[in-house]
Amino acid sequence: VLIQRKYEVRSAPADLPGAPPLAAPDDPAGIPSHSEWVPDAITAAGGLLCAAAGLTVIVAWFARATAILRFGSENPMSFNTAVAFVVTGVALVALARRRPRAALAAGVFDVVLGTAILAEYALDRSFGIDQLFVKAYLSAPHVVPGRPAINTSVCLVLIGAALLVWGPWRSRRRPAVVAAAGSAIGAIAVIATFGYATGNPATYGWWHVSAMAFLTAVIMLILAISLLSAAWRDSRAGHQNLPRWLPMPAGALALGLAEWLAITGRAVAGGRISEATFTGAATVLGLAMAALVSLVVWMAQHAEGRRRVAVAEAARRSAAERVAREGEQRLFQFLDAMPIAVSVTSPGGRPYYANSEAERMLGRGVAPGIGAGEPAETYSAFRVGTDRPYPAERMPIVRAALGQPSHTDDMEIHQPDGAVIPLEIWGRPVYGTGGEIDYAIAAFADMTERHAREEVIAGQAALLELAGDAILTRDPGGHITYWNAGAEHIYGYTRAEAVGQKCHDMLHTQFPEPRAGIEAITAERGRWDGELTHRCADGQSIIVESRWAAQRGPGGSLLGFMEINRDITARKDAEREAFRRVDEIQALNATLEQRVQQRTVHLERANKHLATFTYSAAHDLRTPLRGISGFAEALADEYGDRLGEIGRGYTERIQAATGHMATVLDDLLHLSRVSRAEMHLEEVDLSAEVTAICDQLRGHDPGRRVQVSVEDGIRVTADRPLIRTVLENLLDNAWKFTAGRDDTIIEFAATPVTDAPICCYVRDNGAGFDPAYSSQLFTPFHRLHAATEFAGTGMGLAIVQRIIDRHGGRTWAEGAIDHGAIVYFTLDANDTQ
Amino acid sequence: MNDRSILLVEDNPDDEALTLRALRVNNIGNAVTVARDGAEALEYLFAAEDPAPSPALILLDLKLPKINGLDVLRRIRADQRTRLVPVVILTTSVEYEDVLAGYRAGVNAYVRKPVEFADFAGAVSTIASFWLQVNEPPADVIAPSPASGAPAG
Repeated sequence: VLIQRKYEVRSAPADLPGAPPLAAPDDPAGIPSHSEWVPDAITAAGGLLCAAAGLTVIVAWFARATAILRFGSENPMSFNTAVAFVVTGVALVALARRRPRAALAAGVFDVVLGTAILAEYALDRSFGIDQLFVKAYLSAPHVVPGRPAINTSVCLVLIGAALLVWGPWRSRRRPAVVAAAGSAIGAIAVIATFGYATGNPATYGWWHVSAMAFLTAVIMLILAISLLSAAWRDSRAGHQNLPRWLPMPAGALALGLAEWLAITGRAVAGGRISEATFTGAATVLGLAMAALVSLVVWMAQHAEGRRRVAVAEAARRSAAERVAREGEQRLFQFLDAMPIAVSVTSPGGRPYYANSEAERMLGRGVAPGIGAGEPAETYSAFRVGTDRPYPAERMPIVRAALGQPSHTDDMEIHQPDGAVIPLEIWGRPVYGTGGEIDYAIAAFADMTERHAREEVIAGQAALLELAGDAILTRDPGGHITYWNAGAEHIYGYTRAEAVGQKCHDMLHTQFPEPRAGIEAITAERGRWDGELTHRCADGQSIIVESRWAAQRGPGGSLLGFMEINRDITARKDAEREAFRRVDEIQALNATLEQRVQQRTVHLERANKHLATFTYSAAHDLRTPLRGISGFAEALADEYGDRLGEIGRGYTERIQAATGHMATVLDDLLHLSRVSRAEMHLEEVDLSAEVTAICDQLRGHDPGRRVQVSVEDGIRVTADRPLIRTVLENLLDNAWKFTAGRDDTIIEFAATPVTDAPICCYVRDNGAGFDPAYSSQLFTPFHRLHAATEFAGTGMGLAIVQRIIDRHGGRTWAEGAIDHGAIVYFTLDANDTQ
Repeated sequence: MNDRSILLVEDNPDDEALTLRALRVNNIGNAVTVARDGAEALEYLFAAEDPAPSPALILLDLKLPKINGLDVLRRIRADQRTRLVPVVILTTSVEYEDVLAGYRAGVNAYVRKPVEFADFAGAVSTIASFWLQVNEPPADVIAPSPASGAPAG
């Protein structure tokens, strides 16, 4: 059983995984296969024969057919035995037809009957069952009437037991139990049968109390065959090999054979040996033979089992290997299809596998024997950009073999054709089930394209480096990810110092508005412009013109921000300086205006003072002058006789001089007055005034023929008395200096000038003046003509100039000797004093 | 010509002499009282113990020591006894403000002293003959005699 179990265990893996489980071997309801049909038929046939024989005997008992009852021997089959045969036969047919409950019922009947009979024998009393149905009218010597023989009863118990195991005891031992029962019955029946054949009553009539009928022995033999057949079918339902209970029927058969030999031998022995001795020796010999046969059969069976196990194991192994090979093949196909290179080595560094991409990249396949030398030589691996072999201890495949996962990107492969391939390599160990390193695997990628891309990017980055502005990028968390040379220069932080730092913490940025708002604007609109204040590494604050741009990934996710910052501190300082200067100038202007106003006030006050002084002086000078004039006159009047002619002449000169001086003083007073007079501006029609003055002049000098030309409608805003004084003085001069001409022409008109709203002039065709002295014309008391030629103090034009001054205008004169004079004046009513 | 006196208020001795001479050469024989400053003039007019009879004409200079001419004028016009006495300001100033102030204070005439003596004498003669002979004084003043001669100059 142990071997059998082992065998089953061993052979189980041979089944393909996932195959449906075997049908339960003991399932009576299962549809019979071809292999089950024959034993079923044998069992059913045996059952039918058995039942038919039993039924025949029962009928014979009732019919008193003694010929049938005593068929083959003097001992008739008992009625109870016949009933048991009928029951058992029906049960066997039912069993063959998959009706195990009938077998159960029959088993109970058989066991109870057999046990009861044995109990009767053992207790030597009758339970009243022996002749229950029919009187045992036939009786053999030593036989209890109607009671079945002991061996028959044992067989009944065995049959009952065999049938009972078909019930609830559904174990794989059932066939063995059934076979054992069958074998035992067979042995008993064979012995009985051979006993009848050889005339040895001991074999069928045990202890001489009752004997098994010949017919009973035959039926028992049939029953044994039926039971073995059922056991055979029960065993074969599970598996293909021979049933393990085979030694038992073989032993029974051997026992029967030994019995036959013993019987034969007794005939030969003739009486030389006592019957008891012979019987004992034959029994021992028979049992030994049965045991030997059983052993041989068992051993043969065991050998067969081992052979089968070996064959199955070999088949299983080959199948497993095939599966593994197929799996590996498939894996290699997968790897070959991958765009990344993969190579696998044994822990010792021997190349085991390289996919096609790896072969292409390395420029060779996995040649046998490769890997004996240095790994760097094996793969022509060099440090990137050099001719130095790549150090073996740093190679990922070597480190992976030592159990260290690693990654490098500084290796390049020099292919046999001279091509250089830069590689990025990942190395990983592959562990077996026991935790040991089975393989080292390396995956590597050709970085040529990536390097080319990186070169392009680096070229673009180099352009960023050329920018004078600070260009930096930072992730959404504010950490600097890029920092160009301009930023290093402006802020004083090197790239190594800056990258990874929180940008605006490091720069102590002062934002014009909250930073979150700026970032929101940048994220929304893509950019933001403004001015920020930063603190440099040296602690100095700078102002930058900052432009922010949002960096977005392919899906539109925010990668971070780029800032371009231009240092405008100098410009800002200059602006501030300019503003400061403007402020200063404005302040200066304001104070200047104030000072001008103050000066003007002072000047006006000084003018007033001067005018007042002039007035006072002129006024005070008049008093002594009056004294001089008066007393000179008194002298001449009262003492004229004594003075004589000359003395009187002197007093006359005194009189004349004081008279002149009085005129001068009056002019001075006049000048003073026009300087001090309050001005009241109003609209004045100059043309009308001129006409009126000329009429007055004509009235004073009616003898002169003077042609006066006055431009009509010259209106100005001025102080009427003062402007009238101007016109009087000018016309008076014109009148005066044209005296003595027959064709005097005096003209008053306006002429346009650039620096004043109005410019008027008075022209005459009189004596004129030397233009070399035109600038002296307006000087007080300055005369260009001799007092004897033209009267006057030389104060007229000075007064004119003073009045025009006060009206914000200016005066000038043009002229030539004997070609008349033109005196111009402008007026600017907005700038009067 | 009435015989009442003329009060000449004049601080300058030269002008005083010239004025007196001008009166004399023009044959104006009224007695002339000279006050050399404003205080003296008021003392003369309103002396408590012995007030002089009101003058027929007061010739008043403006620029005077102690009390100036305008104040003197105001006192004269303020006093019942002298408020109707003809006062002629005879001064060198023709300042507009002075002229205005003089008339406001109730002066009867404002005459600027000419420098040349002939003119001066003419002016004094005209004033005296007008106020003492041509002009008819108020009722409480003694009626002047009819003009005895044309004013000088």
